[in-house]
Amino acid sequence: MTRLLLALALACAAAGCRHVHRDTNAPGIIDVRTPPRDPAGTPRVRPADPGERMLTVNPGVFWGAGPQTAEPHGFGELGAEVTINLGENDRSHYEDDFFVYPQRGVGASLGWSAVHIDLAEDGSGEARLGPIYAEAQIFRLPWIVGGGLAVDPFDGDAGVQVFGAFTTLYARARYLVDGGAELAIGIQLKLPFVRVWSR
Amino acid sequence: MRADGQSWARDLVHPVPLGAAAVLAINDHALKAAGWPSAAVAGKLSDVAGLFVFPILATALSRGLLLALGRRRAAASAWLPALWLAATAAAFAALKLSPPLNAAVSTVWGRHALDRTDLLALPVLLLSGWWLARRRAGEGAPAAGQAAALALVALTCAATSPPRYARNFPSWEVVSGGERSLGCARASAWVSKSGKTGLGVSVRVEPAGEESCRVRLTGGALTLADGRVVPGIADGAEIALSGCVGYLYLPFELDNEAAWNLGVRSGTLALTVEVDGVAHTWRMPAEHRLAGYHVDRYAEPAAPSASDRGAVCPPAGAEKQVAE
Repeated sequence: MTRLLLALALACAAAGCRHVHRDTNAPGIIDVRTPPRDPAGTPRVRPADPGERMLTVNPGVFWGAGPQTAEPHGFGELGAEVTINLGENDRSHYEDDFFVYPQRGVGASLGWSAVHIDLAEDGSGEARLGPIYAEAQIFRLPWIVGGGLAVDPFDGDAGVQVFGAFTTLYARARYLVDGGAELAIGIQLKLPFVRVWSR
Repeated sequence: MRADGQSWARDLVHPVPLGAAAVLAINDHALKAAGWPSAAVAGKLSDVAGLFVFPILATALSRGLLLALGRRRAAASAWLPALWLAATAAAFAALKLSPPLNAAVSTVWGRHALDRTDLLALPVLLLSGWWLARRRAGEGAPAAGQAAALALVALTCAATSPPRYARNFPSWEVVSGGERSLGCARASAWVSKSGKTGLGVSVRVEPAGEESCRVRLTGGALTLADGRVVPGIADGAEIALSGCVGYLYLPFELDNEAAWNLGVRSGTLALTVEVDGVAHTWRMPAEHRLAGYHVDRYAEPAAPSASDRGAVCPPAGAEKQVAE
């Protein structure tokens, strides 16, 4: 896990993932009616922090494995996903914080379980292309839950899926009308690009 | 895990490196923020403590890794600490001399001063080397003690100073004409409060001469760039100036956040000040400005000294109450 977090941090730094500011809603919170307590000692009263909102775009990859109802009863997957989140924090970030990211919010993902590998009991595997999907999600870090629709663009098979994650670990259960049910547990790695403004 | 019969984290489990780590932690998380004894001294103290303890930590970690990989001879080698001492010196020098490297490291690991005088701390690596050489003959320590020491020192080295660049807020500012002579009083005005729900103007008044002087802020208005006029909310307080200075305050309530978002960020402040019964209208241009998204918490402006403040007049109402 430590290696994974280190790799994520290094990938993040290498990719230059970062945040940008908007000055929307920038003024802070003050009690304008009350005179400053010490106008001589503190000529300007610093406003209270209203917190901030963030729009994040998180492209990334995931890989996992698990059981499926179809033969053979094991599979692995490798895919890519992009998530757009709208979230907020009660406290505005410090510019030298390691990560600038909302603690809670909602979002939507568009992804593709691109490589679906059916794993036979003898260890052999047969790869095929998997479904694309769209999900809505809600998060309160470190937890994320969501759900949506999945469609196989090649044979038209469609169904539903639910998703849960604890930071970089995820579980996704999917049911396709023709393909049956499957449960994948794995790792997702995403790079956050954040646009931040005041609440 | 033991190398040549000695524990791999033995160099850390001793009051000297643990004390250095404690100095680093206290300095980074308390003294630097407090600016005590000074920013320069606090910075140098961190460099000295960090340079002493980092090679010891790195040696312990790499020795543990080599033992886990079954490389017992390499783990016991005298070259291992020497390698880390040299690497620490090179990395520290590069961090302090190379702006691109400093910027890259600061992005992912908190801010580090780009100050070549910090290189004066490098000789402390000799002490660290002496310590590592001396401790090679030392005794091992209980596994739990090693693990705790390793975790503590690693955490101390990884956790840099608390964040210092806090969010900044826009504020209305008087652009010009903030000082004026009003009959028997001299006055200066500035925006002391500014936020989502409006702004407040403070006025400092002092007698222009020897004679006493009565000053009252009777009203005012903020005319925004889009033509809207926001009246000030005067409380009618009066100050009797007699060898002292007084402070008056006039708030203006408006949806300042909406004005900011709409780009209405300038206007004219007009204050009506009554001095010994004579009304003066005082106009000054003002602007709503954001001076950068963040402010350095360590560089907050110092408060004026007591001698600069002068003796503050009691409110005229207080005098009346005493008289009654």
